[in-house]
Amino acid sequence: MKTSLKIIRLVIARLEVWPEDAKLAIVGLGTFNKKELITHVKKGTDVGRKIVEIELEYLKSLKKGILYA
Amino acid sequence: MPKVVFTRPDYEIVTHYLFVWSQKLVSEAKKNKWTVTDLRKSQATIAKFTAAVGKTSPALILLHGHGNYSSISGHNGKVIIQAGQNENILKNAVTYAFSCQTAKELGTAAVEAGAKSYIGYNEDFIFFQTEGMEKSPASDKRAAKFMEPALEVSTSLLAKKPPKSLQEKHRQPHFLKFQRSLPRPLPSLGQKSPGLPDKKL
Repeated sequence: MKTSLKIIRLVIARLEVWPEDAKLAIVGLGTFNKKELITHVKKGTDVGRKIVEIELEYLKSLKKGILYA
Repeated sequence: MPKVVFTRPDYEIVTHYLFVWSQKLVSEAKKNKWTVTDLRKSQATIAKFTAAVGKTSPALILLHGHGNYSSISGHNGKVIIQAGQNENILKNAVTYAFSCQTAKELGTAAVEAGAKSYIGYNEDFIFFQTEGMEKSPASDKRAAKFMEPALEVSTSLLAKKPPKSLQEKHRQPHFLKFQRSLPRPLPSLGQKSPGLPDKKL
């Protein structure tokens, strides 16, 4: 499986466990619930790419020890 | 008394959150004996902002609204300050822009034009909200995790703390902090269970 596909599956898996009533507000782009975000990630839109970027940044921060669970 | 100018548009959900959450700043400013010009809702226009700054020569400017690398907007997304056009309006003032991206180009241009300081965000400002809480954003505890630390910058400036002292303190990524409180789907990646206290942040 390609790395990019693995990353998308990883991000979607993480989004799927968000609370149902949580929405993400991106100043300038609007608000999105998890189903909308998953659709954006699958379609590779600007919003989807932004979410992938954020999730990867978070995971990299965990690895670097900037954050830890 | 020192003077502060606010822009606080309110025309859709995201700006409504910023509008409601920034309301306490106006009270805080008055409490700290600032002379306040509050360009709220439809008053947040380039014409009224230009007139307010020209009339009051504010020491502090607190901007709320949508932004991109080179501009920040007011009511209905209409640009108030555009790099290369009117960034000199921020000359001699300390500015905090609670918006996306503006630090990158607009902030740099403003400082080059003589702004005392410009605090903003290089990339998007993102926050969580709770569905159904749109009519009472101040009670949205999820949004509070983002709004409170972001507005602490304004509160500190209104308390006359120097901008430089805020630089490192407020650089922590709030989104990352919030994410830690969400369930983790992939323990196989080496993540521990959620909810452990984080001593680093």
